[in-house]
Amino acid sequence: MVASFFWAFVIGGLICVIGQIMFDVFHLTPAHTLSTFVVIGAILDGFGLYEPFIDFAGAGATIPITSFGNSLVHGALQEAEKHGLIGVLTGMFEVTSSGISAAIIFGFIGALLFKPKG
Amino acid sequence: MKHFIFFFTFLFVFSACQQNDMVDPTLEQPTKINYSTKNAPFNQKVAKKAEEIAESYDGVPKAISVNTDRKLLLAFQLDHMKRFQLKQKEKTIEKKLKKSFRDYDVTVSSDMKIYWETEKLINKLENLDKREMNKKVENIIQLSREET
Amino acid sequence: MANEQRKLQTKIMQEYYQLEKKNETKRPVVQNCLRAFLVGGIICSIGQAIQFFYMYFFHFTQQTAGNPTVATMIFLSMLLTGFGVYDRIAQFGGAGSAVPVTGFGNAVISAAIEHRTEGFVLGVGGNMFKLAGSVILFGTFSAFVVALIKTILIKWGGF
Repeated sequence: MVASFFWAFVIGGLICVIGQIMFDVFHLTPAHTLSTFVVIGAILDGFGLYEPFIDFAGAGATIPITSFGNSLVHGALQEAEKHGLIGVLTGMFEVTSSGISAAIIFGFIGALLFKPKG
Repeated sequence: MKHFIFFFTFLFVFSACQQNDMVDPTLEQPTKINYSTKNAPFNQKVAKKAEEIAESYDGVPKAISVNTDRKLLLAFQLDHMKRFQLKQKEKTIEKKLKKSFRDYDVTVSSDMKIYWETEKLINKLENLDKREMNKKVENIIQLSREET
Repeated sequence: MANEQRKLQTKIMQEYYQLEKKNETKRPVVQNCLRAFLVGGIICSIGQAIQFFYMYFFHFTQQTAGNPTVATMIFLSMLLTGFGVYDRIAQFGGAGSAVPVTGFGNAVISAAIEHRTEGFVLGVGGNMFKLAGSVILFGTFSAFVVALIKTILIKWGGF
């Protein structure tokens, strides 16, 4: 249990360091960096490498935005197994939906509750 | 400011390391939970044997198991550094158990939640009748089958 | 005359270039990385704690607990964004606050709050995904390509 907190901290931190290096050394904007991360996550899951990574690092691998690409691919592949090629299209948001729907819903609630500053 | 950050980082990393070291020995030499399954509704001999088989694998410090007349459920923990091979380990153990206990419907899980639930079930095994136990085991198996 | 001017220009440009370079090297990369590591690590540890919470008190397994964890993290980032705390975390942590899903949530929520004055349909609805849209677009498209290739390989490649 303590080990999983430790590795979540270290792996999550290291992924953020990679992001910071992309900010500072390669001068990418946040949008570019995050998009790159999501694409990397999708590709890693394509090779079946992201699942073991989650097993190892827990939230250290699921909380960074890379897991977004991973779960998109995951949903698509799960559906594809059942329904063939068309499943790739229909299953994509099956797993990821919680992240996006939470962002939309809480975004709107936030806009209702809070007033813009400055 | 800079020094503070350095200080806190090191504090964090090292304290985490220490705790990590402190926990590891207990993980490697697990104390057997004391439970008696004499009065369990089903004879737990098969489960005991399955536990022994699973614990004989490298990197599996602890495994717990229950069985009904038809079903065998086993949950195990894995050393953290070996968790990269979690899925393979699960498969090899499941295959081995399926071979050893052909009459049983075998479910193997490495999930922490399944482990906790199985532990809970074992602790109150004596107070259950057959029907209740069948239901409880079935519930845990359903939970382990759930996909993301 | 023109030549002279160009010389002057290039001189100024060179000076500017040097000034830029001088400022550039001042960017404290190591310190920023340490901060990002710290903030990102703490956010992921909080995520781990929430995941254990869901596993312990509700019927979620280690695998299925991921979804409610992400939703909860985004809820927390809504509160922090609304009270203006997340901006301060972002100033300190840089990528450490942007890379976790809370950063994604922050991008959506801050855009929604900011454009509220333009009305709910055109302002909030239209601008919500201004920053996060690219993440969703590239994520979805790359996932589509990856899943398509893999499915084709599995079906007809005999893998």
